[in-house]
Amino acid sequence: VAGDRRSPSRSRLTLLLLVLLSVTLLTLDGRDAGPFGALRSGVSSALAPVGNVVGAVFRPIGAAWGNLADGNGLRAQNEQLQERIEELESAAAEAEAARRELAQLAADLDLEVVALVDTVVARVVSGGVTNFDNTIAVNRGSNQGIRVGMPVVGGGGLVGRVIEVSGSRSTIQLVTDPSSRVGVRVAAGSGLGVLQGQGSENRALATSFDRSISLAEGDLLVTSGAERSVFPPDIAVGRVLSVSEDPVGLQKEAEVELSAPFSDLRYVTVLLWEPPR
Amino acid sequence: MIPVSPLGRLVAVMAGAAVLQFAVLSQLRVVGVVPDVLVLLAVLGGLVGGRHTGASTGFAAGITADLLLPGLPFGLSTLVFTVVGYLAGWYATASVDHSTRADVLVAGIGTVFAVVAFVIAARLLSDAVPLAGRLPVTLVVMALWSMLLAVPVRAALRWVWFADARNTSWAR
Repeated sequence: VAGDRRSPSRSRLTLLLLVLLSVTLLTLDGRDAGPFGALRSGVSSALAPVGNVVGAVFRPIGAAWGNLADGNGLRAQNEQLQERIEELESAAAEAEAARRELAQLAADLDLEVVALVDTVVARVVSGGVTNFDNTIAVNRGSNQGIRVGMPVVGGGGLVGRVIEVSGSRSTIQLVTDPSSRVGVRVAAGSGLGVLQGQGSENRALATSFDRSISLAEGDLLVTSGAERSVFPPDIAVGRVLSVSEDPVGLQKEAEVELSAPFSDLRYVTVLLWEPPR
Repeated sequence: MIPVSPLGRLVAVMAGAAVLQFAVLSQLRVVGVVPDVLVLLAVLGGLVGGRHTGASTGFAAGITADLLLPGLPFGLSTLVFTVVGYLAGWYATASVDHSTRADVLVAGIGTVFAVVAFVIAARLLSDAVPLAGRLPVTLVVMALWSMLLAVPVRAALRWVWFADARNTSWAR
């Protein structure tokens, strides 16, 4: 330091004022009283074009690096994908017929069926901006009908929910985020629980299952769609790896292997579904 | 040339840092960990200019970080980075070694301190649990990234606070 000539008391006063200001911001945000969501959305909108351009530059470089490192693996993967495409084309035709039938039944019985919700497919353009957020950004936004709170799926499982939207970009909080909570139920049973992210890309913890319910290794957990849930029902979340009792012994909890491939998410599907208010 | 005040230069550097973090650094992942230029600005602000400059730079870097982090409470980064900048300034005024090598080393150590402080503050003040399950590896890689970026970031901060003699006396 060339020389800090301010007296320690003046520096402390500055610190105190800035800390008070920070706490005020925190309090306002906690009470949803400030324009912080709009500010963040504005910043995201302003930076999105730059991010998309730089992402477009970096993506081929990353892909080329991956190809150099794994040329043989890529050829084998290509052959597998060709076979998979043929299988999926056949399955898609059957699914379309089933979808029509389901739509008819849902309309007759007045049921909410997630498979019938309109969707937007989006490309993942980046991970979190810093290390402190378990988020991804995608290249679709409010221009395509995406709104804050909409659920996102990919790779056969729940990915997360939209927490910020600008015109052509959305930020998605992943279910792996430790602050994320998802109401789940056993697909083949009736037990309800809460899935909490653990910061891991493929594991999470499901808690609060009633001790009396049947919960076993391999059971599929899906979104519960319970009242006030922020997700629609019956989206696959993950499979139970192991079951234990909580420390008090009143409830069951399960380690869960998540269905979505978080380490290799390239495209996701946003369900144009908003939680009931 | 139009004279620009330190505040104007600080805003310019923070805007540049936001673009850099959002568009470039967030793409540079090593074992899943990206560099964080905003944490580094808070630490180096104190090392370059002392307690007052550190707190001011930390506050500005924190506001910028809060604008980029939609999943966390607004004000959390501002609070933590302000304190981190002040403490880095306190260390700098007490230290006798202000060589580039020392600043690079302290940038790495300061980053570790800042990240741990952030995680603790997030736990205490919100229900967010950043970096759960991957804190050790994140600390190591972020410290290395910070040491790598310390020299250009320090130069930018010297430009902000000490670009001309008139402003030097104000900034210090």
